[in-house]
Amino acid sequence: MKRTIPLALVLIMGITMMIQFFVPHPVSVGYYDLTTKWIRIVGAFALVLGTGSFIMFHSDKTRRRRQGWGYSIVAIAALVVVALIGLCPRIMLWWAVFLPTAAVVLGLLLVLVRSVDKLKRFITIWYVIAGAALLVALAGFAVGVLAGRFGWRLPHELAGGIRPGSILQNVIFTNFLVPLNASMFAILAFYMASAAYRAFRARTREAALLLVAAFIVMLGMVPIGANVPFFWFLVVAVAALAVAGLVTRAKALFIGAGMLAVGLLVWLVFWKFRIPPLMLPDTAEWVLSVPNMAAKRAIIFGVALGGIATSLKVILGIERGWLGGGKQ
Amino acid sequence: MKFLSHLLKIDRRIIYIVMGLLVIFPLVKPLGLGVTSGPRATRLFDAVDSIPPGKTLLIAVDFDPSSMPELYPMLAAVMRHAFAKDLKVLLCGLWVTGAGLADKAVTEIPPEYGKKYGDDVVYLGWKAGIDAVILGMGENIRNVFPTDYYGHPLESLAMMRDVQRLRDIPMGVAISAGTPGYTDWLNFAQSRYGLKLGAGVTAVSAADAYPYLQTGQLTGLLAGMKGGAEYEVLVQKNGYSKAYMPAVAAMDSQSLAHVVILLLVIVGNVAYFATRKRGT
Repeated sequence: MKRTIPLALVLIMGITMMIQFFVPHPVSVGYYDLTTKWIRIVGAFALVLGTGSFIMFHSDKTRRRRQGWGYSIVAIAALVVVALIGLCPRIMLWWAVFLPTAAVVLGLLLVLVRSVDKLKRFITIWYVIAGAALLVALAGFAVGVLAGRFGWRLPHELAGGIRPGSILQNVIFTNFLVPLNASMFAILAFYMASAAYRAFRARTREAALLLVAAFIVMLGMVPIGANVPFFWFLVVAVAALAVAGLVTRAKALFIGAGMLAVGLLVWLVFWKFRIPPLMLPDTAEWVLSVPNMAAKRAIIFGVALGGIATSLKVILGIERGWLGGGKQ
Repeated sequence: MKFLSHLLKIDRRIIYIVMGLLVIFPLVKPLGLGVTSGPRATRLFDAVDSIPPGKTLLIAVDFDPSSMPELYPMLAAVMRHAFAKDLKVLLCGLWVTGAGLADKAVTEIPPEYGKKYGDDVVYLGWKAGIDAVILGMGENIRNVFPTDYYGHPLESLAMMRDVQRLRDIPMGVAISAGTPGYTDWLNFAQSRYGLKLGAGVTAVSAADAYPYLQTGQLTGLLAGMKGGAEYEVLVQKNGYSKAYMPAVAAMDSQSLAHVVILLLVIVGNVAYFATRKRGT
């Protein structure tokens, strides 16, 4: 039964949804509307599942003192703070700061009580963080109390109306998520430069082809390469390969330079010894629009056909891996 | 030959410093290399330009702060174009981490054109479900988003009175950093509800979008920061905006970064062939 019911459900839903697509009757449209609502509800449950899994993973890591467990505390604290702000739209600003701070301080005290020896290195920094957070919370509290006492008119958000896009959420988004996320991505530029220098070698013919394509596209897609005629780009490439061959005495470089030079000569003959009007960006465009597109299209078709085949196998009960490996 | 062997062992910190300096320098002192608009950006511009005034343009903000330098200029430029053409702009997103970016755009750009929230621009926010969200919007936007991002019921927003479902919207632009993104809008909003669609994507994923452009499923395409810069140039050239063009400014940096990487590849390969020949 544990397998039969899910299999039957998948079969019924799969077939009815396929039929529904071709039937524009109001009943069919209503059924479709209903099922899309179900999908959204199931999606919301997936969020709960994900959050639960996140908390379990990080709390387990912290409890067992696995390497980097301190970061897990930060992750859980961040989850609590951001979730609180999202879940309590009418919360006072000082409460939004005070509650998570109190939670962090409490958690810290519990951890300290349990294993003081292991935490000696972290005690100072944690005290500083917790102390600073506590001060901010107390300041918020004081502002709230004084505002109530003297009837100050505070901005809407400070007075108790935190909404999406409001001051506190924007502070977190703008000052934490944006710089952290952008920094992580920006670091890639440095790693890519270093990796390209160390690993991007023309060791094989395929790698050499990739290298040539990369040169054309990388230069052709930025303004600095916009006015470079492709012919002169190739002439410079032939010269560079020949010089590099002379310096390094590598046969492969001479062969590459020779082949390219012959190609250029043929091209010149074809254009009756006039410089062909092809620019580097045009060539980059051709690389992207012809060979790249042919390969991409093949991949897209392959993936789509594979998806259809797998879906049919799941609907018809031939593929049962998604049911898990438990007993019947 | 000893020099070539040394070339193979350039300290990575030197590479980082050179790269950092060459990226920062053009931002401080622009080189003015200039950007010319390509056919893909022009097609998207023309498509947005041809929407009759008063109609709604849907913009999907499907990216997060990591791709903000590449994609936010596109969002800003498309919004400026739309407002200058008196179009109404409806924003939504499939990336929860992009919600703040759309909020920033909604807060900063409409006032430049004297546009009012609720009358000329509405931000629906983010909902879980990806494909189900798009399918639901195809049937009735209010089923998926009973309220906007700021908690206003959609019925209370003047702009939304004429926009019940995706079929009421003549065109959409999906600005995507990955999955979910423009492919989801293509698969469901375009194929099922006939939404005319353009896309703005990161440079690394641009190659994936080309087949959809050639088949006509995508009306136009902005690829990477260059795509954003091309659109900014088109918007300014046509007199729709005089705002600062962040993507155009950053193209000088990108040019130099590409040149550095290519030079490093050349140096690495020359040194590699030299040392390989000598059997070291």
